Amino acid sequence: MSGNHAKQAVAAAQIASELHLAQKVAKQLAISSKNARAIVLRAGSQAAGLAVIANFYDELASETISLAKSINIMALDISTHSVTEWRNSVVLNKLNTAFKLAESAIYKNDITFTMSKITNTQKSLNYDFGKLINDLGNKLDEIQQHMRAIDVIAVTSKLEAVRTGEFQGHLVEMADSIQVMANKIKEHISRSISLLGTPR
Amino acid sequence: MLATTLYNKSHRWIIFGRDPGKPEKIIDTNQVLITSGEHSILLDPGGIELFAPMLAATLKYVPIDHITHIFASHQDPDIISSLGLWDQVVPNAKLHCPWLWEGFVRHFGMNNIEYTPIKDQGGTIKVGNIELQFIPAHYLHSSGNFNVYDPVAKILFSGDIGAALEAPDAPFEIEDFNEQIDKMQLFHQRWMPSNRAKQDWIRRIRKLDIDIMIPQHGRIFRGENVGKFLDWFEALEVGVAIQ
Repeated sequence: MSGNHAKQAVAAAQIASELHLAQKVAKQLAISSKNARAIVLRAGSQAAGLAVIANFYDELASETISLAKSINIMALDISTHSVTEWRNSVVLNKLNTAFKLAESAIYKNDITFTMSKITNTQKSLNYDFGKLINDLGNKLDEIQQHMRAIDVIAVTSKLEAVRTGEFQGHLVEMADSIQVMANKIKEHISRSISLLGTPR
Repeated sequence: MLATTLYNKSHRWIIFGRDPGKPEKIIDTNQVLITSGEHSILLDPGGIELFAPMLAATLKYVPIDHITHIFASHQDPDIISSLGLWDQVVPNAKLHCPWLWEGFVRHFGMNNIEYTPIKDQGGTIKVGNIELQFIPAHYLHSSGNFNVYDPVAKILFSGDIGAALEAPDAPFEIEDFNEQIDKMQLFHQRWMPSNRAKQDWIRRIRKLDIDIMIPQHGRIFRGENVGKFLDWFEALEVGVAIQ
């Protein structure tokens, strides 16, 4: 029991750390998307189709940053939650031992009230924990979807860049770097999702 | 966990220790319960690993809600690392501990129990119908440190002073003081850093009327062994790590 709580607490802290790294990459992504928009503006009418795409990059990057921020807080909440559950389970475990050892003690039933109180607290903590984990899973999926969308847009923008003449090289290079960043974020999120498997 | 009643008149002193289930590599400790009417105080209730046997032993003597006070002579884990667990079972109790250690002792976990800091000069506390005194014992062996004295029962709980490193099945009481010296000497020389602090403590203690002295490790001193200890300790050079 305690072992699971320890693993949960560590896994949640590791997720927070992965998300912190993902957030840093998302910030670079946001800068790259702004650069892409600047090139598109310079390319003028030749890159009209890319303007929408550049805006889209920017929006997705900003959303990813704010999602990563909120997930980070959530992961730390989960870690704290696990530690509370862990401590409660230690108390419960010790009380069970005390109850067994106190076989002949006149007042041994005095601790059953505390035992049932802690058991109820544990139930409610478990319920909240399940909810937090589900929310975390959903938010991680959401970022994953963003990154997939960025990947698709990068491929499309490379195709569109063909029409921009002298700007093609820059735009393709930028789309490649955006893809690399999106893949990095995807890796952090995948690791977070696999870590999430431990607490689940 | 073995238990022995040391005094049982208007109120009761019980000493716990020599737990047969104690993990091998931790030092054996003495815990004390003083009960008076519907109030009780636990003196240095011990480490986390001792919590379950200590709670079980305590429930043989008092209902759980009669444990209204806990005393920690100083901040060490063998003294009070069980605090986070007591905090759940006696949430309305007060913890009496040197003011110096509040920020440290709270690391053991304290959401419910109220911290009642003891000032450097000591003080008194009422537990049921009795009044106990907190006697300063600073630097012996902790920089903020107290003993507990009961003038009615004439018992002094001396914390680490008088402590000895003993076999797990050692008796509770000293029979031959001279035999005890070997078990106490290095402990006092190394863990007590200040000769000046030692003399200050001896001066205070000689003014008290003591029948029994209970250290937190080792055996209790009764009758003339109390005086023998004070004489021996007075002559002992402490703080030997500084050559």
